[in-house]
Amino acid sequence: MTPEAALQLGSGALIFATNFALVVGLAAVGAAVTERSGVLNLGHEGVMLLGAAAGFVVAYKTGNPWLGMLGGLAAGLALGALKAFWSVSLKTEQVINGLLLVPIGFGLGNLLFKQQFAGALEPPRVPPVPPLAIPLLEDIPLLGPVLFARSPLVYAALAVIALVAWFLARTRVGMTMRAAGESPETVDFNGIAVDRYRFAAVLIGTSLTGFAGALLAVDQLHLFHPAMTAGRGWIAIAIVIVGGWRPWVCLAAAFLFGITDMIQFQVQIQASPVPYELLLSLPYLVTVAVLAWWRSSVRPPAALGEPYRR
Amino acid sequence: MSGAVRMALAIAAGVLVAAGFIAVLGYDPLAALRVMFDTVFRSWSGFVDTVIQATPLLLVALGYALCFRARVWSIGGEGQFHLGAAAAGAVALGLPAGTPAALALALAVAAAALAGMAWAYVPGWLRAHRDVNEVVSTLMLNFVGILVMSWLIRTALRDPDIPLLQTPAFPEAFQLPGIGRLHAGVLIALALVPAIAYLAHASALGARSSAIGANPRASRAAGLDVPGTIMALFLVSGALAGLAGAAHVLGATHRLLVGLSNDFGYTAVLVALLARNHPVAVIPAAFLFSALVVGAEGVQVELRIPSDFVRVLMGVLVLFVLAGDALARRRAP
Repeated sequence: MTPEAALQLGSGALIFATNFALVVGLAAVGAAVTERSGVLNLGHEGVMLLGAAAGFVVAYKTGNPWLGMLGGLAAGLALGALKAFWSVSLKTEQVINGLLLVPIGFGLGNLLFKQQFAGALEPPRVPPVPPLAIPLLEDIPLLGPVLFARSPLVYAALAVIALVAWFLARTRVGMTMRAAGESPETVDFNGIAVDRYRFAAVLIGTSLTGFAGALLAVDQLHLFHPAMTAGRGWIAIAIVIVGGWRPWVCLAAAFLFGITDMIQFQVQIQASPVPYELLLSLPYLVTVAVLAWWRSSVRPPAALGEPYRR
Repeated sequence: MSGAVRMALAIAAGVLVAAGFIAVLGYDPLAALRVMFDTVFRSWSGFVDTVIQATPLLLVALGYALCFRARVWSIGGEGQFHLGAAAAGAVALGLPAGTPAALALALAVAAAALAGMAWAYVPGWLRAHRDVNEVVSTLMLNFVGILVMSWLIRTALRDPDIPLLQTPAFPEAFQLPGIGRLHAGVLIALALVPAIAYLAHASALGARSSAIGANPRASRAAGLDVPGTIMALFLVSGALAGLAGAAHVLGATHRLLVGLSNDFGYTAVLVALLARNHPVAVIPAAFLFSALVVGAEGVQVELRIPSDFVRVLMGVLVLFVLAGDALARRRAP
């Protein structure tokens, strides 16, 4: 193999890993914001699937991938409103009302997709989004194609993560949100409505996850499939813990999981004697193993999962 | 307002919302309702399907109800079901043909319960001793459990004569007895309800679970064996889900095949929640959701409305149950 070919293979593998990392990372950053405000949302898998269905349908019908991304975001927002109302306004058990987003999201997503494409003989596809190469930077060996010759949707996803990280760390609203998850009594004592900030944090979390689903469908697979999220929404919840509820660390952790996914895929296409079921299990087993051995110095938000009552 | 009235209102509200969705998507909700009813109650095969699918729902949801009472959110039934099915299948295919049927069935069922327990042991231990989030760990092992069974079907247990991913049929003697397709699994499930109700309401385990569900920190401070209780809950629920797998393959499918479970492990979460974690109430809840799922399949065949609407219906229904309970608590603190 020539060095050029090896570099190209390496770039391809890294692109595969970053694809996984972006989708899981977006959802994890969203979940982190929600949890920092004190609300636990375990429904990200369902939100992601509905985001994928809505994003795909909108992108297909309008021919515009950007509108598809907005469609995914809007779908996330809708499920988020449901979750926030049941968690924050009605104060029902957060574990349960989050889990309920999974059958609701899967049901709505499949319903929407099948209703739009009833009678289609071939699975519909959207065209890939042409990459936007950044001159000079794209020529960096190995990393150039991974970071600087991607579809504009990839840059948009990174920008969204940066924006949310900055919002949570640096803005007054973001700080109040974090305070609502650490010490809601103090927030309340200062005359600030805890529930309003928590409601907003849930919406941020699910719209990011809906966006992630649309990215998976529109930019990465160019199609919709009922099992396409394959646990990414659950892995995102694990990554929030590993990433210590900090957005950039979550993205880095998501990249490590992306490497795992890339390895199992690479071994699979080499026609190795390892059963492919074991390879497919790898991301799930790694998630459990990491949760088992991970001992973070960061503790979860103090009021996580507890509804605030005066 | 009593709990029963709130439950009826919640179910009615859930049905209304689902009917609204069906109408918005351009289908006829009244026709859908009628076909659902006809499928389940006016055809023998639809009724039998409802009982067959209610059986694993009932068994898995009984285990969930026990766990949820302690606010232990083990939702690994789907994986444990597949491990149990695989274990029962391996025994039924592996035993010599001359084995007495009763012994073979007992061995298959025991193997399934053990396999389900083994699959629950890992997330249970991690939750009890390392405080690992059990929702994520059990979910991850669900994906792996399904793959383990697929691997067995593809390799060791595969039927070499058929180009499909399935095992040969079990010998007839090693299948659960029944009337036509209606098999005895449902009787096993119903017989276990009093035992689980006893565990939940009258046993030391049930009392410890309630205490842990109310306040885990205080329970630990009071000297309660919290990790031991959590382990016991995981193991009992794992055994029940494994049993569900055995009942389904020994009674209904008579072989292992891909797509064995109609999302039983996930629908059972909704069943347990609808029953408000009450073992006896799991019986009507399991039959209701099984009827909805079977009815929705009838609707898909007859009216070409994708059956996925039933998942929205079940989810929304439980949401309304939660809302009703929350509003009642608010009014009468």
